[in-house]
Formats: sequence, structure tokens, C-alpha cells
Amino acid sequence: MSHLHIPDGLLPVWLWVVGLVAASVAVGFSLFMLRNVDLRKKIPLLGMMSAMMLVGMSIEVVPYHLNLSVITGIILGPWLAIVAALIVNLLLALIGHGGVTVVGLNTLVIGFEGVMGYILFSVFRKALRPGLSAAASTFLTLFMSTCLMLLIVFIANIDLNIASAGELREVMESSPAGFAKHITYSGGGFNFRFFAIASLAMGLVGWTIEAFVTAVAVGFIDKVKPDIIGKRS
Amino acid sequence: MDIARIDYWAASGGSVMHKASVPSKVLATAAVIATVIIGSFLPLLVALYLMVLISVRAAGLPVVKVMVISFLPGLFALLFALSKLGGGLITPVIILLKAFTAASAMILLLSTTPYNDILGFVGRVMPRVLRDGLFMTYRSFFILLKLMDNFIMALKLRGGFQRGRFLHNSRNIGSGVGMLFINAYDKSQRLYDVMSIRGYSGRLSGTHRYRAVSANDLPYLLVAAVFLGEAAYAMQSGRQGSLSSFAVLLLVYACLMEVLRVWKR
Repeated sequence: MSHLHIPDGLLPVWLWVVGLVAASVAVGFSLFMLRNVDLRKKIPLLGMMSAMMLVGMSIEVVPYHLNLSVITGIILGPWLAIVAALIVNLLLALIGHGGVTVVGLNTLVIGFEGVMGYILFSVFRKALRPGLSAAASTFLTLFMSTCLMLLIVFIANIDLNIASAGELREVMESSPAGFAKHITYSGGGFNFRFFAIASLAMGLVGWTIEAFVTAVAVGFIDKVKPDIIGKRS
Repeated sequence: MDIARIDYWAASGGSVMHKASVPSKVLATAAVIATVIIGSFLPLLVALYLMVLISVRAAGLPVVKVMVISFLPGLFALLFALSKLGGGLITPVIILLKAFTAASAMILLLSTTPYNDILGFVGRVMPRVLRDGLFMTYRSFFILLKLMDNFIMALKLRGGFQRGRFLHNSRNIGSGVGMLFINAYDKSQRLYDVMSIRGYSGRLSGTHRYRAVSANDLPYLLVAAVFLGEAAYAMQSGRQGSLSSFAVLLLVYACLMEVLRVWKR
């Protein structure tokens, strides 16, 4: 389990609205960065690679399904990977695999995997063979994305004790210590420690499987058609 | 994941739900999800889930299969629910009900509406690159899924996929994934060439005509609106609807949908 698809109705409205806005900004910025790229030529590639992520999710290795978000990021580059993450999450939401309202947050998590996978692979590749670089970048990326998901869940269970607009202004202008006084962690009996340990324990198995499969796949691509993992948009 | 099965249901069905217009189904689904978000009382959420399952049956879809598909992505909800066990049993049950109801409503929408129609409707508010990307992804998915199925079949026939040999299987799957990526990359180049020859200029056409609004639209849309109204009232007043009123509503809805299901068969 490298990441979890958050369903509708569990997170507070403000959080998924922030997620939608943040994902819109991320996708908008990606499209801005791609303004000099002929997107007409990229649409079929974008479609095929997004479809590969969905096919990867259809392959079950033990009870775990692959994500292929890191290898997609390596092939597409960071900007198209964010767009691909949104496309995949919209399609997943349509079949009930992850919520509609949380498409933004899920896009940020999977988009992060694509971007970070691309960056780490580029760094590791200078010192390691492609297969090893892919394994290391996949494992680290998925660990970080799981932490990002845990951060989202943690924030979802924070209560801000702000009753009025005046108090909000006061909080905004106060020091970090003053701000902390207005925060309580209740979550209606939510056991974050249990949630985090369970997620990380399952994640460890998932990251290892995904890193191994990605390493073999990238090693195979490097032997047969290396320009695919060398090209950047 | 059962995208292929859901696509088949959407294309082959002829029920009252299939015949309803796209805007009304999208609106009704939005109402169900809004109810899931703001609803916090157990009877309301149980009744809402039953209402969606009644609609699934009215659509001529296998109810148990749809329930199983909706349970699959429920691991997050399950972990979330288990983490809330400290607050009693009601909260975890509510969490699971919310996740499964929203997932079932989305599956119902996609199982009764061809993808092109949904994309044509919701794509109006999307940037073109996103709309075209969604369209290409959906088309490409079935091509790649067939390739993957053939690959796994070949792998099994040649002894490359054996029970208990986890490392061996993972290595073979990894090679297959690598081969699929190369295949997908080549296909995308070829697809662009073919599309260019056929006059592709960066704009893919989609469906812009929908079925007219008819009596088929009303039952699901109305009952979803009633649930949303009830949830909004409960949120405002803090008072939940009575069990008997939900039971009567569901009974009437089930009878109506059953009559329509048999009549429209």
C-alpha cells in the first residue's frame, strides 16, 4: 500500500476545498510550464501513460495493486505527470475508487509521487544504474507520499478553537505559540498513532513490491528502448 | 478494479436508469454525495445506502457485485474507522457507510451512462488538454488491458507465474510492465501519426447531445433531493428523521422502481 484512496465524506469540507484549490493551482502551473510544448503531440502519450497507471492498478501482486506513478513520472516528466495524476484520479473517482470531493487531495498525493520520482531518479541516475536508481527513487518517493497522506489525515483531525472573526484576526497576528493555544487535537476519539502505524506497516510491504517491480521495468526499458527514460518534456 | 465490466454494463443496459438523461443522473449523484458529506446520523445514512442499492437493482445491475466493487477501495475507510473505535461503534459504522454509499453512487452513475456522455457533460467545464487526456486515457485503457491480459495468460502458460514464488512472479511482472510501457509509448506515437493523417488538429470531438429529460429521470433525482433536504434539515436543527419515515420512503421508492424495472424491460 503506497498510498490510500481517500473516500468522500471523511475529511472536513475546508480541507478538501483547499485540496481542490491546491490541485487546480498545481495543474495550472504545470500547464503554464508546458506552454512551449506542443501539447497536441503529447495528448496520446499522456493518455497512454495515464492508462498504464490504471492498468497497473488492475494488476494484483498478492493483495497489493501497483500504482506505477513513479515510472510514469520518469517517462512523462514532472509537469505532465501532475496532469496525468489528475486524469487518473478523476477516472478512479468515477468508478468509486477514491472520492470525487477529494480528487484534489488525491491528485496532490499521486502528483507528488510523479514529480518526486522524476527528481530522485534524475539525481540517483548520475551515480547508480537505472534499475537501482528506479528502485531507490520509488521506495523513497512512496515513503514520502505516505507521510504526505498521513499529514492530510492528521490535519483533518485538528480542531481550531476560533469562535469569531476578531479571534481569527488575533490568531493570525499572534506568535506560533499563541497560535498553538487555539489548536486542540480531538478528532472525536481518532487514534492517529494506530492509523499511522497501520498505514506505514502496510506501506512498507507496498513500497518494497512497487520498488522491485519498477526497478525490473526500468531495467528492461533501459535495455530495449533507453530513449524513453531519457526523454524529457 | 472493474472498469471493463462497468463499461460493459453502461453500454449494454436498457433500464430506466440507463434511459434517464445524463444531467439528471449527475445531479442526483451529486445530491447523494452531498448527503454523504453533510449527513451524520446513522438512520439517514443506512436509508441512503439502501436507496442507492435499490437504484442499482432497478438499473438491472448485480447488486452484490456492485457492493463488492464499492468495498474494494474501502481500505482507507476501514483504517480510518478502526482508528475511531475509541469513540464507540457508531462512528466507525458511519465512516464505512459514507465511503461505501458514495462509491456505490459513482459506480451506479458510470454503470448506467456511457463514458463519452459523462465526459461530454462534465468536460464542458474542463480545460481541453484535460478533457482530451481523459478521453484518450479511457480509450487507451482497454487497448493496454487486453495487452496485459494476453501477457499474463502467456506468462501463466509458460510457468512464469507460480503460486508461492513471489520474487520470481514479481520479476516477471516487472518485465511485463516494462514491455507494456514500451508498447504504450510506441502506440502513442503511432496513434498521433494516424490521428494527424485523419485531420487531428488538437481538438477531439465529444458527445454534446443528450437524451431529453423524461419521466425516467424523476424517481432517482427526486428521492436523492429528498435525502439531501433531510440531511440539510438535520444539520440545521440537530434533529434526525424518524426510522418509520425512512422506511416508508424506501418502500415507496422500491415499489416504484420495481414497477418501472419490470415495465421498461
